[in-house]
Amino acid sequence: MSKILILGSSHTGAFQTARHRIAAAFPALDVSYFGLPGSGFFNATLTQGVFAAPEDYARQFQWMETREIDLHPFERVLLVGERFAFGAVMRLLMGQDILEEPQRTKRPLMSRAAMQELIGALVEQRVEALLTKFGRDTRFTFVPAPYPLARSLQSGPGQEKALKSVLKRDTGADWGRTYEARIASEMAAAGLDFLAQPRETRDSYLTTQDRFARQDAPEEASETQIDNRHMNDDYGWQVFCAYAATRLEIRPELEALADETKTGSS
Amino acid sequence: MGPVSTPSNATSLWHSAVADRAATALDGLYVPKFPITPTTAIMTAGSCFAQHVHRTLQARGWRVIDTETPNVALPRTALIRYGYGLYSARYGNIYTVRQMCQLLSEARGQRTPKDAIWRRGDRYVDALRPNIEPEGLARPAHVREARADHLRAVLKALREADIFVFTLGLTEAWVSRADGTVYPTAPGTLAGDYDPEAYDFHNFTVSELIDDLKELRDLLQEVTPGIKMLLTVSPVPLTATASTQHVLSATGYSKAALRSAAAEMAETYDDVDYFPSYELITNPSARGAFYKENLRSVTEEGVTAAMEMFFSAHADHTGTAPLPRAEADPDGDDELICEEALIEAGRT
Repeated sequence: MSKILILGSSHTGAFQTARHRIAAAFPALDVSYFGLPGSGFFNATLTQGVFAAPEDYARQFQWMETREIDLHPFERVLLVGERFAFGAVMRLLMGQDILEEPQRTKRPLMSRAAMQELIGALVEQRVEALLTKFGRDTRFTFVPAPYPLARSLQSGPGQEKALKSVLKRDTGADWGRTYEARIASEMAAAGLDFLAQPRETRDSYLTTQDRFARQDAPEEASETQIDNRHMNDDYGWQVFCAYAATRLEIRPELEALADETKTGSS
Repeated sequence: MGPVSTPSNATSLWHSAVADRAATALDGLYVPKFPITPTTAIMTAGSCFAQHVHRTLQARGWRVIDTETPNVALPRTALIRYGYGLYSARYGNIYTVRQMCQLLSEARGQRTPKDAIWRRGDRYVDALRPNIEPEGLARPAHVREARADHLRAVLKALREADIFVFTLGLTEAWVSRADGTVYPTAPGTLAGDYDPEAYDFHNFTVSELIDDLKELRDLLQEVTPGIKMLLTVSPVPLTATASTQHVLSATGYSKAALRSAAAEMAETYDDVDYFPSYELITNPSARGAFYKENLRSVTEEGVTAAMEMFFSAHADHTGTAPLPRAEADPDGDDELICEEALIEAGRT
């Protein structure tokens, strides 16, 4: 059995909730899960192959048996949750009109070359951080945190204002492609394997379909009650299938696929 | 003949004030005329040494105006490649007082330079800030629109400012024969073509510098009444001279003229002061230690020494330095939601 680890931030939750489906559909794989919420994950250490929560990090989840995990036994690691400065890139784009584009919104002008350079620098900074932390380990594949749900563009709590502003722009999707292409090229240059969010999970280029929401959006909810960034088990399943197909060259077994079709869950 | 006055203060005697002192401990060298505090809105401009002033004040959390840099935490190397984050607006280095005056006049709609767009290959650059777009722009119209946007940002910076910190860099300049526009670089170096029929070399005299500094003060006051001006002289020698002088003599002239003009302004006006970073960096007790191997660029130690002199002189006010504004991390997920997502994952 191939030992696979899904390691990451809170976005590991989508994979963990899909664990029974993954186990049934991929019997040849022995998949383990290890996730830490935001700051815990980003401040975690990797020392001599052991990934550990920060010492001062008190939180412990019931489904994780330990605060640390030895990566040596695993043949492959799928690292989930890196945002590749998505929020900063969206805010940068939101704040400027592009000199060479016809659209004007009275925001300060920035040349296309400068915008590309700054987006590239933000991405490069994140890629360097990944390289510093995880090294050039060929077992690793990095899948980004999912793009926010399509519903996050609606007014109200949980709205992704910067993303909405970018997508309102005539060239918003083009800038999304520029951003993602830069991630791919920086990762390739660093010798790190990058798996983009599968197309079939997306709504627009930079949003995720609402059917992958981890929870419904209550009609009258406060800012902290709306989660437009974390996805459900079906999302975890879809991404894992894409990973298995492209990196492990295996597909889910028919029985699981039939069950999946019956429930209409993917 | 009256008695020769005897200096009673230790700072008046070379031996006790300089020779016996560490280069970083020249007490009494800078005695400010007016207080500058962390909440004073500071506008910076000038030659390249002014970049250090801007950066250091910003790093200490002082209120340094920046009207053009995006309000997102961005890697500095990429920012400065496009002229962001260097000064209070994206004007690049302004080496001469005349160029600064012309910029403010242009921002106020009082002048329009005739020859402000130069070619670099098949691209176009703003001749008055030729470094801010390294690849140039595709069309002259883009240069014009970007400049109009920039001029609005210059005026905005000036309107917000309580004090204008200006580092005097050069006396030598290239001037358009058509309308007297002063350029920051020689035509044909970074962009454009050198045409002796179109451009003149000019080396400003002390009286011209004083006239320009007075005009600059007037322009500042007209836009922002009550604004103060802090002048410094760049300690960086000329990299080359277009005069017929030896570059060392040309540097000597340039620094002496700029220093004299600054002194006269500070003597004349209560709202103009001089900050002696030039003296600190060049002082003989440093034995050249504040210069890098090329004997031109100032070391980080030199910059630190100069700025420490500034902060010490305004020490009564530094205790109240506000922390830089904490921005919400645009890439940080809500921690509670993150935890919830993981807890829920364990329940299924």
